[in-house]
Amino acid sequence: MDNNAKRSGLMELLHDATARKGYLAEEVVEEISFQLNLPSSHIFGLASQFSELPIEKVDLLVKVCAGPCCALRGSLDLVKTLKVELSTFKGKVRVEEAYGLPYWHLPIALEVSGRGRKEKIFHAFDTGKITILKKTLLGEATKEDPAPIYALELKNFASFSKDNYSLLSVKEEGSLKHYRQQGGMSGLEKAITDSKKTRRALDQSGLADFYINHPLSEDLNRLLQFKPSDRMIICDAGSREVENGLSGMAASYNPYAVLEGMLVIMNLYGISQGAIYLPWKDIKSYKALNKCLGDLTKEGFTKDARIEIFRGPAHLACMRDIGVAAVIEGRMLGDKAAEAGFTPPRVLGKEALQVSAETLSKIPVIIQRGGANYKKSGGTALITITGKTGKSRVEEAPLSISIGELAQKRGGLSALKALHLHGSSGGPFPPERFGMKLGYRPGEGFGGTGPQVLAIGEDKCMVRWAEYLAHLSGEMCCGACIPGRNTPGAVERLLGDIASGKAKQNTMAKIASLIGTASETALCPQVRMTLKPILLAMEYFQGEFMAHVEEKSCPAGECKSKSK
Amino acid sequence: MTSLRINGKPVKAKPGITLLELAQKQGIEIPTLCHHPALTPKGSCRLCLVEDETTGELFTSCNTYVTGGMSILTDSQRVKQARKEILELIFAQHPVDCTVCDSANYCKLRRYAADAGVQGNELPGRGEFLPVFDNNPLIHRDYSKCIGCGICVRACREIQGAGAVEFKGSGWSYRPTSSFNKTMDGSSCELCGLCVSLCPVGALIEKPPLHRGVEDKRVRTVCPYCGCGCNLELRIAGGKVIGVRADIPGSWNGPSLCAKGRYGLFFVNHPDRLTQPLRREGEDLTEISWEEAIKEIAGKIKEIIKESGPSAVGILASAKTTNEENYLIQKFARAAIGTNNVDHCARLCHSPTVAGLAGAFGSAAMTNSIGDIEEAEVILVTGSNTTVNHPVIAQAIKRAVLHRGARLLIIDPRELPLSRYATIHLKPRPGTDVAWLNSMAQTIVEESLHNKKFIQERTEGFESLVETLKKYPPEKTEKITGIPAEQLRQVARAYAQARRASIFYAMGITQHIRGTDNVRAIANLAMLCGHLGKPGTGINPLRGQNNVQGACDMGALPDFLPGYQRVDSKEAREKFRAVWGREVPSEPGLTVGEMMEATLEGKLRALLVFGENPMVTDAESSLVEDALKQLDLLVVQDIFPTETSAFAHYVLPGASFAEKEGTFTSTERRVQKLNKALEPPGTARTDGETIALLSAEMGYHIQHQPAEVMKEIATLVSTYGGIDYRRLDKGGIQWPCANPQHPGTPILHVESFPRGKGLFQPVDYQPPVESPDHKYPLILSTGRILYQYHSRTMSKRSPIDRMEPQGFLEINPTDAEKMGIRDGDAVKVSSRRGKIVSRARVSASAPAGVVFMSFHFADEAVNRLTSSARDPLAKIPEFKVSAVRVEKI
Repeated sequence: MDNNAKRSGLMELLHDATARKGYLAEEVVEEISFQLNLPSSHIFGLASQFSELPIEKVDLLVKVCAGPCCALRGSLDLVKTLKVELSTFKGKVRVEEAYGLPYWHLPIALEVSGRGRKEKIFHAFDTGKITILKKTLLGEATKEDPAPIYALELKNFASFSKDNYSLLSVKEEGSLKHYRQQGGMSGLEKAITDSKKTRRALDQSGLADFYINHPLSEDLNRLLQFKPSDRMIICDAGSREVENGLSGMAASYNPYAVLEGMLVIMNLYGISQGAIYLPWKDIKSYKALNKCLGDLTKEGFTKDARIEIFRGPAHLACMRDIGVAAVIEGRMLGDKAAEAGFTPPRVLGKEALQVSAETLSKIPVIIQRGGANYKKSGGTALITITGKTGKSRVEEAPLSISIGELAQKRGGLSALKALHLHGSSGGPFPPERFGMKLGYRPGEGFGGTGPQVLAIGEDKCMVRWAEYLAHLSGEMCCGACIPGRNTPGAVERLLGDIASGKAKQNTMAKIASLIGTASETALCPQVRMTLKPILLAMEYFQGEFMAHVEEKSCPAGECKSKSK
Repeated sequence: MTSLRINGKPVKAKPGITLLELAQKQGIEIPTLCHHPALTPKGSCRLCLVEDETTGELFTSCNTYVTGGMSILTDSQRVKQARKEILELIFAQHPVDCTVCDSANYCKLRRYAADAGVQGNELPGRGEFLPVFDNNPLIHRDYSKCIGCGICVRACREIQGAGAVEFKGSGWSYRPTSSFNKTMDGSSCELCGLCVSLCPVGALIEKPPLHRGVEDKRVRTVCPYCGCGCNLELRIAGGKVIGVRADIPGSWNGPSLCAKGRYGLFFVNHPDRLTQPLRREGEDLTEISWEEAIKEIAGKIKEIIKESGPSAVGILASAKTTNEENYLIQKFARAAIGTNNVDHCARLCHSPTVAGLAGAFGSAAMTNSIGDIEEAEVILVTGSNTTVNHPVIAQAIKRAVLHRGARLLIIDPRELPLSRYATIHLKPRPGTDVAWLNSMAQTIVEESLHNKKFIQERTEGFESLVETLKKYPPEKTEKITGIPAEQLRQVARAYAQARRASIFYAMGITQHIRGTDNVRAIANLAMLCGHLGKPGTGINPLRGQNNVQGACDMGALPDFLPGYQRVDSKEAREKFRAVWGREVPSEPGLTVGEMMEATLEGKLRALLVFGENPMVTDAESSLVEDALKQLDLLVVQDIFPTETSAFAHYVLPGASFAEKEGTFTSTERRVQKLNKALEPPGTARTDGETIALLSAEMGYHIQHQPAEVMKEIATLVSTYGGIDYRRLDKGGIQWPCANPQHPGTPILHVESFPRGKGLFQPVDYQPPVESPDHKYPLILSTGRILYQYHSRTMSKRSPIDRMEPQGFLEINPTDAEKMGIRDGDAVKVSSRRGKIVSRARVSASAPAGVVFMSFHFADEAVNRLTSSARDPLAKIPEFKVSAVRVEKI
């Protein structure tokens, strides 16, 4: 077995071993090392890059979501508080920040596990009232205490567009037969018989993958430069944001459409190898896709196309496409980042195109109803709207509406200081930019896109928010290059100086300079994408920053020992 | 050629080179912390940034290849500013403790920071220091100082092949570690120290630091341990060796060394060094002058010759001393004393190679080079624990597997560190090598996989081989060897069908009473498939000591003059007589073991021992002890007192490898030069000087200046004809090298064999002398361990000794359980010849029914158990198979 084959599938093996014991024991690593003839240091190093593969046995493990939505609600403070409060726990306890938890709809999500415990999901509405949570975690809760709040099903928070091109416009209820009855699979059959027409429909639609904000046809044409045996397509059914699993929604809600879209592309572009990337914990999507793949195989649709499902961590401290490639290949994120740099990563030795499940799921209806019509409608995307707004929601929103309209619809714009768009790679925009369309393209001054709109209230200090964004950037970078490893921390500390009134006159200039240097010199675009939101915050909320630097005051009143 | 501009100057460059390489060729220094020419460029430190004026882009020069039309600025304001900021970022997470850091003046980060005017306090620090790992005896790890350049990870993966170090974590916590943060010795680390030597900062430091600051000088020389012949530089300060580094221009081993080469050379400074001649007076050894010593020793030799003839005197030359000194020793024996009684420890390791390969090809040495190991498609390793005995060669084998897709086939009774890299590992019963080798050959012939063209054009005796092989179908030998027939067939097919396949073997093949037959069977196999004379092929006997190849080349053997010219050849004797001015005796002399027997019979009365320790290393050491006690004159020259010198009448202080000039010839026939780095301690002298003094005292003057001696060698030994010190300054030359213009010979037998056609020598299987029985139910096999060497005279006086200061008996868990033995228990090991006490190490490395012990430890002298039964031709004892009993104490 060659080394690539040995490593491919390694992550799934590690997840499986972790699921059995709750952690990755040394003897298990040694056994895998022996069986695969891979150095145990490689397996250990690989596992250590993902919090979902703990290498230490603990009695109580509390993962607190530290993604932007929960952080806005104070989850980082909750981590600190819980570390103190749970110190009386009899046994080994660990409280840690977590990213990639698929509980976007919970204000602060906590995932609790440990020896002999069944994994449970809680949420804390208010960081100040953690008594119930603490009692529950320590096993001290009595019948008189109110029950802790557990997670609710995602569907309770979701609403879908009535648009013809909606994700669920062709509904699936568990069988290929039903899917066919609803008009599904015609796209694939048509694509096979009339590929010219199909390609034209796709070209006309202008379909772009919302997550990478790039027209699909252009990316596919890149693949055509390579021989068919060297082409590969990967359906990313995981999240491209640190907190959301929205792309996975497409996979679990409409797996036939996702696979149909994938097979259409493979057929049209002569791609014989396909892979689906799923977060390990997304059992629902996994089961749905597996069943669907089985159905399609029985029907003979996968005769010329080999599709495999790879499962791995939800959060990848890496550019998403590089991270997915690394996990599929069982390689260190940094090694893959160094290999790929700014170019799309090859996967298993092939030129690969990574497309989100959500984008693929739209292909059948485009083929069915015409590309030109799709272009006219502008399309939709799954968006979360959360923060200082009404109830958190998943919204299948038309890309043609403005972010202000979206926020207005979901809770109003009063007392909003900013709308933070697209998580770690977007940025906070002040009210004067609320007219910006949801489906904007990069080139407007900052990086990629993500499916999140966060409403930030007047009481949130934007320096502190920027400090958090720097912290998040550190969590989003693999660390393989010095700018990626050290810049977020240095910027975070400088922002901390500003917030605490210790900044010098040139501190903001130094932050801008460091981000500029990192953007120009880092190994891959990730550090640039995740630090640019800080530049936006400094640009749009300059006054608030200067008040900290020059007047040593915090207009939002969040920074302690300083007043408005 | 590609045209571009660099700092405004038009240059032409070969496509495929990086901008960094181009700049270096132009004499332009670009700072880099993560680059090493032997490693894949990663561009992780980002310091080697350059600017392309035409596009305005900044990019790293270490992994950007030259392109026509580029206009590169290596030092523009933008570049300088970016580099400065990157250095500031590094210091934001790096302690500014340069005044107490042992990396001190070797730290590249400090130098670059100084050049850029970075003080280290420009950015607020993380204020969080990482744990220091100080629990390894040889390596200190301080990850607060780690800059994450990844050189250690890549070096361990790409050069060493161990993969003991890997990055862990992500973001700011991304740093190298061992599996589960274990001490390095608890991981797959072989402590080669490569990572330490390449670390650009003070994160990895050798310990204990022997010296702070820079060395007074560095002297290029050759490692004195195994036969790999690694080039290294000794760092000298205050008259002591303070460190070792490799990575010397022109060296074959690049930055690689092994644990012994890196941490085992400090014995040179040890206070136990002999500094003055000693004479036995009763129970004591008393210091005397050199004049007294030489006069008295020469006088006694003359007296013994007069009374009993020259054959009553024997000399043990040394595989540790130089070619020139071995040449002088045998010349002294033959020309001054008049005896061929000269031998050395090659008798105990590769004498069957000399006998077996000389018969097949006409010369006996590794046919190929270490450098072409990575060319092989298939590598067959048998009877060699390469990782332990020839670690740097093992690195090349691992690289071939890991990075070149070679298939590694191992046939060895024990589980080996190399096993994890193997496609298949077959485990024969000890002493059954001829059986499985013949079966492999039988399969190849039966399935018509043999190389008919090669056999027809280049060999003779094929038909008689085929006749013999008929008796060895794999099903039949399975009962003898324990190797499943089908698996052996698979290995035979893999070896035969490869376009390039090489065989590596060592003492697991030779140290048997049928060692010569084993070697012959290997030669048969290689000729059968035509795997000779091309890169990535060949028969590669791995020589155990630094100069065992050279000592044999120089005729420190009882039956061969220098250059393997037979003593019973009149023509050869005449050639030497003409240069030496003395007759050369025509009767072959005594081998090491025969000298001991002759002593016990009263035939040998005087023995001169140079740098050998037969009390520990020879088989059946109780007989050796009796013999040494019976000698009328025992003279030992060594650098330390030894178990043998304890019986000596005279002990003479020798100069170590660091204190003399000369040459060593490595296992790949590479003649390499030693340079003198230090003066010998006290009155210690080189072996060559001692020989010259003794010889002069006996009336035969010998020139001992090494360069002059090499000139004499070149006139008498055709394979060394072109060896000249002036040619050896920048790396060695592989013999045969016929004349001063000859470039050396990396691969032997390309067109023909020295004997003309290669000779198939059919051999039949014969069982070992001893088989397990109810009284001695286990087979004892002896060998080496990674952290010790020979009789430990050198390794026990170096930091490396801390890794494994005690011997052990390796026993299979099944056998241990049967005997109620647990790991660490004291055990008594007995054979028909003696008994010793050791510590049990319960390990599945040993197959059931076989126990293993190393021969290094005098206090667990395993050679009290081994048998002196010998190979009839090569006279090597059967170290690998002795029947023993093990009991828990």
